Parts: sequence; structure tokens; C-alpha cells
Amino acid sequence: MADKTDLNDQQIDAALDEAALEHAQPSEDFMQRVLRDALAEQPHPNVVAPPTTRWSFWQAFGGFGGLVAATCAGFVIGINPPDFIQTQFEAAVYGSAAGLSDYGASVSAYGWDQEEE
Amino acid sequence: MPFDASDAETDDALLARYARGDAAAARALTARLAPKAFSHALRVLGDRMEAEDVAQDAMMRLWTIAPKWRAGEAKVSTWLYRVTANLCTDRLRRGGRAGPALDDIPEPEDPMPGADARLLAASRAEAIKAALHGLPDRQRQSIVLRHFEGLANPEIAEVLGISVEAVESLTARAKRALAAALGPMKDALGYEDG
Repeated sequence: MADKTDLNDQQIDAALDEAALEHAQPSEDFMQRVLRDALAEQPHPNVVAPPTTRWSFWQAFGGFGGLVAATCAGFVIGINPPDFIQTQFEAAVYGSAAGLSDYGASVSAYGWDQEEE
Repeated sequence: MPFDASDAETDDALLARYARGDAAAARALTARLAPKAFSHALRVLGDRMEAEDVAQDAMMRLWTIAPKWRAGEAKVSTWLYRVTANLCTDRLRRGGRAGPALDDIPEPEDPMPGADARLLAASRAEAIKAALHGLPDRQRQSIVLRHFEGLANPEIAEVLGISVEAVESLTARAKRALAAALGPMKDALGYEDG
């Protein structure tokens, strides 16, 4: 029970309000120290995070996928080569890009393209 | 280096920007939160040097946790008050009672009619701060957070890790203790019976 000599609730609240008016201003030195800590501890924006287990899995899968893709591409090129590859092939085999047409001319020279009578 | 204490951005958003390496966010968070941690620590510990140490430590913990902070789970300021409160409690346990004793506060000048009202108000403020430091730690924390930092009871409950009812009980006991401590100085501090 409150003694009659004690302050009442309103007086205590008023006293606390008065005390709260005294602003607890931190020093500039303190603020600078906190900021230095903040900048020293701050994560660097360009740091690359270490790969997670999941990422490593997909990287490994990506390597395997590349091998499969290369195999498929080789098969397609083999059965239906693009023109420029065919040209390069002719150059390699016949010594010039026009090798096959020369070969055709020489075949004609043997009369294989003569019309049957 | 200037600080930017703009209120346009939430603490959560600033902390996320800090974690992405934005130096401006570091400055804004420092300007916004460091004074709160300091003010809380000063009112609980009653010593500027110790309050600065505690507040700097609390802020350092914030910088450290920033990359792992999950937005929306807790208010940054509430988290900081909680860390500060715990650091103050640790320091008080290690160092014993903090702050000036009520008996050490000089007797206020006789509040005769015409006496300087500001001087009287300053004497009251000193007296209540001294009485505050005579309270048990938890009671003091509840009064500081409620009356000096302006927190509502649910937030104080979160800071102290207790129920709202427990906060109300702590605050009521603290006020009764303050009323009893200041009772003998009632006339000298210019309080009238009532």
C-alpha cells in the first residue's frame, strides 16, 4: 500500500516525463566509431558466394549435358552436313574447294555423261 | 562524414541494402539506430562511457547478423533494444549497481515562490534518475523503455522476453518503488500533497 508521503502516480509520470526531456545525445566520436565498424563489417558487393551443393550438382550435370549435345550435333552434321562444311571437306580431300566439280569434269571426260543412243 | 537519417525507408529495407554492400545504408542505419541503443544503455547504466561501449557492441552484433536477417520476422529496433538490454544486464551483473545513489544527489535549492523553475525541473530529473538506478534491473528496463524510449507494452514484452501482463506488473512495481524513494524529497522537489 502506498504511503501518504509517497509521490502519487501523476507526480511520478510527470517526473519521468521531465527526465525524458533530457536528450541523451551520443558523441560524434561514438557515431564515427559505430560507422567505422559498420563499413568494416559490411559484406563486399562483388564477393562471389561459394557454390552450394545444389549448384555443384547442376554444374556437373551441365558438363554431362554438353557432352551429349556435342554428340548429337556431330551425328546431325554427319548425316546432313551444311554447305560450308562440305566445302571444307572437299578442300581437305581434293586439295581445293572446287575439287569435286573438277572430279565431275574428269568423270565426264570418260564419257559417263554421254547420252545413250 | 555526414549521416543520413531519412525516414523514407524501413529499417528492414536499409538492413537489406547494407547487406548488399551499400555504404549509404550503413550511414543511415548508424544515424537512426545508434542513438537509440546509446540512449537506452545510458538510462539503464547511468554512465556515458559504459553506455557507448554497450551501444557499440549492440550495433556490431547488428552488422554481423545483417546478411542473415530475415525481413518481417522482427522489428530491427526491437531486436536492437533486446540486445542492448541483455548487454546492460550482463554489465550490471559484472559491475554491481550502476548510477548515482539517491543520497549522492545534492539537495535541491529551496523551491520558494519565484525560484527558477528550470532548476527545479533539473533537480527532479536528477532525483528520479538516481531513484531509477536504485531499482532492480528488470524494473528499470521496463521504465526506461516505456517512458524514455516510448515503446508500447507489447514491444517492451518482446524486448524483455516476458508477457505483456508481466510488463504491466514490472512497471507498476517500479513506479511504486520510485514513489517511495522520492517521498522523503517530496517537499524539496516542489511536489504538493495530493
